Amino acid sequence: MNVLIEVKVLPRPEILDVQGRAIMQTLEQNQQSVEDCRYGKCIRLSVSAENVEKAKDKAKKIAEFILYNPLTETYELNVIS
Amino acid sequence: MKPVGIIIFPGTQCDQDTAKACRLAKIPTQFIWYKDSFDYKNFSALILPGGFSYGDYLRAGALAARSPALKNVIQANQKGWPILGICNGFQILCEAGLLPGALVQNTNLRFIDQWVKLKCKNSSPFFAEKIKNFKLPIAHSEGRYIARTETLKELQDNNQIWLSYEENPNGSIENIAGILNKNKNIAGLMPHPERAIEKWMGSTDGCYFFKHWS
Amino acid sequence: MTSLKDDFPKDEYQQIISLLGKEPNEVELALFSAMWSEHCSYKSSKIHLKKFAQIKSSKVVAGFGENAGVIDLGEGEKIAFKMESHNHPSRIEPLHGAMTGVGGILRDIFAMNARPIALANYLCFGRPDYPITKHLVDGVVRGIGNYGNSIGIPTITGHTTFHSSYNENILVNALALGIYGPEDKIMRSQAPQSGAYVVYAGARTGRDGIHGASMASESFSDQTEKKQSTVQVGDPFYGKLLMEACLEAMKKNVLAAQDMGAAGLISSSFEMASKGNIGMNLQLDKVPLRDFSMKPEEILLSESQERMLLICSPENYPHLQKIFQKWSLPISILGETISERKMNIYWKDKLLTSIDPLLLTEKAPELKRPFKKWGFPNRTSKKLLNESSKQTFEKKLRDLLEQKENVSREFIYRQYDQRVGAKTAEDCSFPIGVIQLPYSKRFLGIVLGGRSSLLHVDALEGGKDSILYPGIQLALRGFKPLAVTDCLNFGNPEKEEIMSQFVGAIEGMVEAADALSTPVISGNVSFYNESSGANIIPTPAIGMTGLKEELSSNWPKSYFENKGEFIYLIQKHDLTLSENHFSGSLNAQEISKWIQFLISISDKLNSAKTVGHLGLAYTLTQMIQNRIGAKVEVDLDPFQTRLYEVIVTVSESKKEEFESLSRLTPIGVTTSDKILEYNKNKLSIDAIKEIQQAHTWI
Repeated sequence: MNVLIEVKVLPRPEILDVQGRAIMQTLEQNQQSVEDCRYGKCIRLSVSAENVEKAKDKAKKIAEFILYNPLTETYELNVIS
Repeated sequence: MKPVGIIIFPGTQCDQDTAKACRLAKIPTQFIWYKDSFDYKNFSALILPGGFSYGDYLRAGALAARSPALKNVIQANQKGWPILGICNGFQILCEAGLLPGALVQNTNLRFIDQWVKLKCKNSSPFFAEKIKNFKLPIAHSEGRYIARTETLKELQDNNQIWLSYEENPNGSIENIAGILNKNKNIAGLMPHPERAIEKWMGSTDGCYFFKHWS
Repeated sequence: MTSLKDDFPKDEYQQIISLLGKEPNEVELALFSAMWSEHCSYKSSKIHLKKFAQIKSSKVVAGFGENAGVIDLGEGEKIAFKMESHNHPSRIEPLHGAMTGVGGILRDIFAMNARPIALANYLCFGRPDYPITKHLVDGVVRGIGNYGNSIGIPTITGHTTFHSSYNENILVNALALGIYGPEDKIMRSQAPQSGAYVVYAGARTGRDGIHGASMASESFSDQTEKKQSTVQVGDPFYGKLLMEACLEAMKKNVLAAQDMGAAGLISSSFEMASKGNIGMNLQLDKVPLRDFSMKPEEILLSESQERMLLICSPENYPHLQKIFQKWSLPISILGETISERKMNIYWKDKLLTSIDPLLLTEKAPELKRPFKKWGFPNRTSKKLLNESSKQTFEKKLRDLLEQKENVSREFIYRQYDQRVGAKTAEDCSFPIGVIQLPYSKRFLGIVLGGRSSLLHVDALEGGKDSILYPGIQLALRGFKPLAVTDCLNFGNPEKEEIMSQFVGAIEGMVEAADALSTPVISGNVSFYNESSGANIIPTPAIGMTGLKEELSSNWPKSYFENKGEFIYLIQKHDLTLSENHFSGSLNAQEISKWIQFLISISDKLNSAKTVGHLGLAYTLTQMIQNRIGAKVEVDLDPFQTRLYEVIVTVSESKKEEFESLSRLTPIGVTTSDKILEYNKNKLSIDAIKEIQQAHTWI
């Protein structure tokens, strides 16, 4: 089966997120302030595997192999379909 | 003589260089701060200079395109005022919807600094009308011009493709280096004419771009 | 959490107790661990660095001890410049490490109220085929580009070496140069008087790089992985706002300024107070925070980027506030300067410590680490990189051109904006970077030095060469060498062998800088470039500036421009070579005279290039053009390394004049044959260009 998985990568909470800061600044100037803003990325993988669990394992391996940098980022997996 | 208004956003780098190029062409200049609203009628033309407004964060030009000064730029356009966007200025004009299409990451995914040879495909009464072949430097990460097929066709039909690269450095569609709006009062280009105005810089072809508004 | 106490050597801990007259508390331990680290205190190098002060010069306006050194160029112009290492952080996280390296050195320049106008970098990586090298090169180059391009300062020259000794210990040294116009005053870091505000300006404080300074003072080992501090993130956009705000504020509202770099707020505040011989009351709870769970000692140690500590008089503070608001930057009064020499640090109403700032600065340990005086026995008997071999000319040349270490660095510098600011006259493709000075319109050259091929063999001779060789590069284009900044990158100073290299290299540098009258005005030391017991080659990286007095930009090209020019080889025999081993020593006085000679003939030359360690034939391949070849006949091994050798060309019209000055005869001519001919060995230019294009890094 083919499983669609999204890998969401965000800067770690203690890491300065320069993009989030710049977006917040612009929102403020346009009277649309928010309490916090973090800028991340989303990678959508289509994984072929026997079942969803195996697909998730595969995606986890891929995420840890290349998609995120443990020094600066966190990630989470979401099965889409 | 009315001055040319040079708009400074946070992260704009080439404001002084652009003013220097205007001075060399005996064009008076005045800086406009992005937070301030202004009356376009006090200026002969507006320039959005190069740089990294808001660090190029989110998308190059996206955050600057939402700043107060842009409202007055839009007004100026409605009255057909000449408006020139250089590099980041071009990106801002696209993000603000004043020029069609978008500028996205170079195909090699890297910043590119080099000299390029350019051709002028179509002219506008306001911008660099006479030059044919010339040499200018580029320096950008997001300089690959893209547009939908129908937009591209419109650009071609209305003679809006302004400048093109002789050798494509960044993957731009149709080798596009600069475009005009339908009215021909707005122009945007990725190369930096203000960095090629004296012989020791490597080229003086940039001088052509600062001659036409007074 | 283990106590910081365990980090101190026993004798230093005892010293702290006797200075304080009591056991230090956690906050005091944090202060000492940062300020007495090698990185901040220069405890192993201090006694040796004093030798640089011997080089006297009337041009120096500010030297060591300030954020950067300043040179007076006359005609109302001054320049500030400095080079700094960011080796350890770049090894851990190459992108952010390199970015914050560039950001940090730029803040040192504008903290002095000089407007930065040029960047340069000296990089050393491991062998190209070493597994992590490609990743590190990519990250570091991106990082340097990201910061410099985005803040809008051009990178105009660089130096990149690949050598196995840097496999696990890369070097990332960034140089920045700033300019003062006739109206601009030099900003000092000395806190000037009591009753002034101590002002925090710039980005909010987070947990970035806590313990960074003490980490930079340790060797790389597997344990480093565990002791990782939070990666410091640089933000060139914020850096640009801070730079513009500071330069605007310094016009009249600031009395003193210091970058919050290594060891953050502690280091900046204690150094400012020490220099002014005064004290400060500091309210840590007034520090703008990004992370409100931070403890006081973490706030003190944080190395969050894009921050500056300013001193201003109370009546000027409203102006300062207005300027920083204009640039949308946080600003906050932390406290005030006091006449008593005490740093009173408060957290809310609680006094955390009251300590004499000198205990952490001037009273820091000054070590006399053991070393041997440099002499012939220290010299490694290793052969130089290139030996003569029995292979054919063509095979040998092809091999050299194909090696990844030797390919064009264009893949690196193409990622740097080299022209922003519209002052660049020569970019990274030229042997020296050249910018036009904005006020006098004279041209200023910047070049980097420190050749690992020689340093590998002899730290002392390599130290001399690291000053002399860049001097030659400037002279060939008619630029008079002015002054020097350095980054002294060495291994573990606790080892006698490494300390001997360090002392030897400095001795060589001082001798050469003195002979050339180029004072060493700023710099830093990076020790502990060691991993798993392996130390790097001694690497004193040099940044040298030179000035061209005439306004003309007509200096020799680095390539053959026209056919029919006469080719000469200008040589300076100094170190003698036998079977590719060096013996003897460089005579810095003699070479300095030779450098003056090169300046005097530079306007007769059409093109000029130094012959690098790869030899004459390789250098010729770098000078030929698509349409211009060369025919050379000379009784010299085309691949041998000779230290001081220059290829120049002279046009027919200047031939006679040049020959009477140089007493040389041509070794060849440039041709339109599309062929490189060396003693009857022929290789087509097309073939050479094909190899060059096929063998690139990316």
